[in-house]
Amino acid sequence: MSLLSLKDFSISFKEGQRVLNAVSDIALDIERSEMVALVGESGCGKSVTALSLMGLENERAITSGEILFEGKNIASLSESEWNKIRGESISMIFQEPMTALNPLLPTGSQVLEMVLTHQRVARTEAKEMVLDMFKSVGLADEKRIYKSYPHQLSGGQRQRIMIAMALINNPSLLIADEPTTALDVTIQAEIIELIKKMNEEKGTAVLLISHNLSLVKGLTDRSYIMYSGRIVEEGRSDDILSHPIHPYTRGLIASIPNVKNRGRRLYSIPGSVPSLEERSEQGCPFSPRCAICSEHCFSEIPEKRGHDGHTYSCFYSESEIEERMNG
Amino acid sequence: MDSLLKMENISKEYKTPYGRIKALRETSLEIERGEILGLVGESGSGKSTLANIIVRLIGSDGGRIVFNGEDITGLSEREFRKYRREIQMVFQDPYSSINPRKKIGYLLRECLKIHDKHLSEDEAERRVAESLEEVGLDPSYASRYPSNLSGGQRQRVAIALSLILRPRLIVLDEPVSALDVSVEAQILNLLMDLREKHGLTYLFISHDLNVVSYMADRIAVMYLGSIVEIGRTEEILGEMAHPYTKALFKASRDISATLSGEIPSPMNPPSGCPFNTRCAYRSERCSLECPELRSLSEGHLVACHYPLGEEERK
Repeated sequence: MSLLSLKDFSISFKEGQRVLNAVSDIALDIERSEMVALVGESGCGKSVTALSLMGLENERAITSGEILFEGKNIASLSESEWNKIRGESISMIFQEPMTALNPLLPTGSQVLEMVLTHQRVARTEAKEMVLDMFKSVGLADEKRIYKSYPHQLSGGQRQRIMIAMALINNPSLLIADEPTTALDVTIQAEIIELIKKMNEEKGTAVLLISHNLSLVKGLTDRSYIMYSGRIVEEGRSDDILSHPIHPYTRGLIASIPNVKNRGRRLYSIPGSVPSLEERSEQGCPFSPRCAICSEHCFSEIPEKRGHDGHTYSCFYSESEIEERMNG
Repeated sequence: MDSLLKMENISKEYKTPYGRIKALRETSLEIERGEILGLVGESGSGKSTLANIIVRLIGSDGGRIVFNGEDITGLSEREFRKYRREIQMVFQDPYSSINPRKKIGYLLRECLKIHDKHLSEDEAERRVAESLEEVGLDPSYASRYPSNLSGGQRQRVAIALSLILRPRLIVLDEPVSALDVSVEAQILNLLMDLREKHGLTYLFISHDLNVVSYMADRIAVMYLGSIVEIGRTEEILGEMAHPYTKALFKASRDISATLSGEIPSPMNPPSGCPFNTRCAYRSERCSLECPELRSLSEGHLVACHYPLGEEERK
């Protein structure tokens, strides 16, 4: 049994008479202790998916399908039932730690509250737990930091506090939504090592949500590539990134600038990610920007194909895609 | 070197209620005509302060700036105005750098009219359409508001705004950091095309070392308000001599932790070499004496007492 599995999961919003689909029929599995990435550009539906896994979706969102967590469907829990899961079994770290922390409370008491809400321990014992946690996330001067307010800390320290807060109740799943985007490269590397260490030591499964492909490659076991609310390719991360099949994934990887393509024009996918209102509900979601699409791509949605756990949704086979892209 | 902009010993200090922050410590930098100079460093290293001084959003406390052969250091705001059209800037976030309440055509026309009061309406109209086309937008965008545009389109408008006065130098402060990967490639291609077409010179500031390695002819690395290494991109990548340069590029390449701790507070910088508190190769001399920027080979300069050798680079 997977730790988490999404089955035919959709999220939509009602806008006047129209129903806009943010996420359409996705399937996603995370095993215990596994590190999985959900990759996509802004507006593809990755963050709304993450929020629904925490029961934090917008109240106007209409969800359908199943979210099985440890075998139990958590898609339609009441608020009080969510309160037991959120922060205890599933927790989340956000991109911008400054806005995710309460600016008016010392960081220590914010993390303390997490312990006292979910565990039956005395206050003094809880405080010890928080200080220990601070130490293990690499906050060296833990007693001072316990009393500090978020604005007195650096971006890297604040993200460590967020991680401490997310992990203090030993959740089995950690959702990390762009955890390093707001940080410098050198700090980014330390935060990633920390998430890796926590995964190894405590067996916490991680769902990394990111558009940074080198981060995905360095950290995760498997990846799901999302475009316009659908999963277009999935498989082992190193496999997908070194050997992408779907035209979107190929385009994404080819458009990353680096020293090797100096002096040459970068490949760029024409057009831009359609907004929710502009999305076409018919056909392959990528067809309006696809270099190799043909007529039926605009009318039908392709089935998942592929083998050895590396699957993609396209009407063309791998060799056909190859041929059409080069031809 | 045929330099377009030359900054000599620029210093800048900010006063805060908690003390003084030395944002720039006698920094010197030369930008060659027609080149793309990449400027990299962690946040707090002084990159944006340097950029803001170049376009004169803020003044410097000391030092000399020479633009196109003319000393522009002590100019009054009025005298500086004619250089404003030659030195333009594009900011990181096109959502906050463009006035959302004005039509795009109005914003572009305003740029033109400030600098040329006698410009006819027809001529202004023509220039607006031309500059929109140049950045890959249909001239009909002139009658639209920025709020209807995507991030990539807004950044195109920001580039059109910087371009419409036909500048020589454009300071690009993190121009693609707020954009998606597929849009980033489009904007980088556009910047390359425009440079080719107009013979522009760019100062390209970014924390994304992949982007800088792709774009820049030369790279300058900043740390705590000083340039610690500068050279041609191939030299910086292949023959890096400063331990900080190595740490920075290694961290970005394989996402491994290469530096312990964070950049020290500029309010309380370490004595001696500013990097010595985080340096893996430090010796006693490093905490006593601040190394000067010195030449390793033609055009490759480093501020380190013990520049990295072949073995240490790996």
